[in-house]
Amino acid sequence: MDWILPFIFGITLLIGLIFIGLPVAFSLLLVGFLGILIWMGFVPSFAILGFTSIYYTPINFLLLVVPLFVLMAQLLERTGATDVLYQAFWDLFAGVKGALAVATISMGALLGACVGSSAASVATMAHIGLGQMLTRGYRKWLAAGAIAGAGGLAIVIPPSIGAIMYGFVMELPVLDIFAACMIPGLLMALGYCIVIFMLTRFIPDVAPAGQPTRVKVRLRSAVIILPFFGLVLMVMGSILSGIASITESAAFGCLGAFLIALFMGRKEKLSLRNFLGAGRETAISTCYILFIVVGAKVFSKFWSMTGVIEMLGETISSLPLTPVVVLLLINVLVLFFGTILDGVTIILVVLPILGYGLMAMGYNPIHLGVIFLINIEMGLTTPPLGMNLFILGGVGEKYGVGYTETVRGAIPFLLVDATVLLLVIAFPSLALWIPSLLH
Amino acid sequence: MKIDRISDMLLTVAGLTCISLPIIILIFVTIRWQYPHGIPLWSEDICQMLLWFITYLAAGYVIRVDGHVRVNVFLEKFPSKIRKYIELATSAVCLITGLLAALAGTRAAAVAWLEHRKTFNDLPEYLFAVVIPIGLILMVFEMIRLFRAQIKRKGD
Repeated sequence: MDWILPFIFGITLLIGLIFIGLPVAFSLLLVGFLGILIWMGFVPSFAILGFTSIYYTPINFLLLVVPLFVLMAQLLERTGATDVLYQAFWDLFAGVKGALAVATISMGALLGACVGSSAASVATMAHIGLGQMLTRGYRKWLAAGAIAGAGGLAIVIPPSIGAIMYGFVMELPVLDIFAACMIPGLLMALGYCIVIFMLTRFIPDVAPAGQPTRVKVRLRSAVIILPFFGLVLMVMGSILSGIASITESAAFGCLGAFLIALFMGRKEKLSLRNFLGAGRETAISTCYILFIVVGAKVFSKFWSMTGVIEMLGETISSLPLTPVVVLLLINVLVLFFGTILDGVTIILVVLPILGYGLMAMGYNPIHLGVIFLINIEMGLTTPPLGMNLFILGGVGEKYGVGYTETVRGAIPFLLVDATVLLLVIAFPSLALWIPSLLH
Repeated sequence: MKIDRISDMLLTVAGLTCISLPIIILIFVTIRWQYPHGIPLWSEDICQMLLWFITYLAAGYVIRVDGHVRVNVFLEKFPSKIRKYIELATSAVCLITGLLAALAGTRAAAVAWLEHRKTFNDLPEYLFAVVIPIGLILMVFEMIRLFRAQIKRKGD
C-alpha cells in the first residue's frame, strides 16, 4: 500500500491548488516536483523538472499539430471568413423555422472540424451568432443553447485538440482517434438539428422562420460554403487516406485557411497586422496548452515513479463490479471533472489513470477515447460549472442573455450528448468501424 | 515599461514562428515530392525545436495577460478581503513555481550548451535551447511584477 500516501498527497494538493486559483499548469508542475522531491529526493526531482519536462516534452512531433490547427482557426476568424460562412448558412436555410439555429449547428460542426478547441469555438460563435439570432426574434434560451451545444462539437469532431492530446498521452495513433470520432460527432450534430426542429414544432414562436431567400441567393451561399467543406475534406481526407501525415495535413490546412481568408475574408480585415495577430494569438494558445503538457509530464512522472498509476489501474480493474458499471461510474467522474476543469487538463491528468484501469478490463483504448471526449464535451456544458456556459455567459451579457437562460437552452442538447454517449458505449462499432477500415 | 516591450517583442517572435511553421513544413513536403531521396533528415528536428520558441518566448506575455487556464469559480465565493489574501498567496506560489521552472530549465539548457548536445540528425540542439532560459526568466520577471502589483493593491 506504498502508493496510497503519494496518491492522497498528489490528489489533495493538486485539487487544493487548482481550487484556490493557481494556474492548472503550475499546480501540476509544483505538485509533481514536490512529490518526487519527497519520495525520491532533490536530484531526480530537479532533473525531471528540467530535462524530462521543460526541455524534452515540448519537442514532440505530435505536438506540432497544436499550433498548426490553432493557426488555421485564427486565420479564418481574424479575417472575418467565419462571419461570411455564418451568413452563407443563414441564407441557405432562410425561410425554415429554426434555420439560424440549424445554421449555428452546421457552423459548429464545420468550425469544430477546423478549430479543434471547444472554448474557442463557443466564443467565436457567440460573437457571430448570438446577436444575429436575437435580432431575428429567436428566444434567448434557444439561441444560447444552440451555441453552447454547437461549440461543444469542436472537442469531438476531428481534428480536435482533445483527440490529439488523448493520442499523445495514451501513445495511440491520432489518426485512429480522429477516425473513431467521426460517426459519433456527426450523430451529435444530427441530433442537435432534430432537437431544434422538434422545439420549433412544439413551441411555435421559439424561432421565427424569417423571409425565404431566392434560389439564386441559396446557390451562391452553397458556393460560399464549398471551400470550407473543401478545407475539412482536404485535412481529414489527406490524413485518413494516408497521403500526408497529420502534421503535413495541418500545414496544408493552414495554407487552405490562408487562401480562404484571402479570397473570402472581409476586405477591411485583410491586413498584415491581422495575420500577425493570428500568429500571436496562436502562440498564446499554444503556450498555455504546452505548459499544461509540461506540468502534466512532471505530475505523471511522480505518480508513475511511486507506482500510483499502476496500482490505481489495478484497483479499478479489480473492483467487484461489471465492466459496464465501472465505465458508467467513471463517466460520471469524468463528467464531474469536465464541469470544473479544462478539457486538456482532464485528458492529460485524469484519463491516463482511469483509461489504464478500463483497458485492463478489456476496453479498447480508441473506444474509450471517444467516450471520454463526448463526456468531457458534456462536462463543459453541464450546469452549474460547465466552462462553455461561463464563456457564453460572458459574451451573452452584452445581449441580455443570463446564465439561467443559457443553462435552460443547453439542457436539450445535453440530452442528445447523453444519448450519443450511451449509444457509443452500447455499440462500440459506432466508434471502431471507421478505424477498422483504415487497417 | 521596458519589460512590456520585451514581452511584446518575444511574443511577436513566437507569433512569427507559428506562421513560419506551416511554411517550413510545406517547403519540406515539396522538396520530398521533387527529390524523394534528397530531403534533409533534420527538417523534422527544426520544426520540433521551434516549439520551444512558441512555448517559452510567449510565456512572459501569457503571464502578463493572465492567459493560463485557472479555476476561479470557488475563489469567487470568498468575501473580497479573504479573496485578496488568497490571490496574494496564489501569486507567491506561482512565483516560486516559476522560479523553480526557470532554474531547472536554465540548468537543462546550460548542460545542453556545455555538452554541445545535438539532435539525432546532428543538428546543434543547444543553439535552439537558448530560448528556454530567455523565455522562462522573462516569465519570472512578469510574475514578480504581478506579485508586487498585488501587494501594492492590498496596501491601498
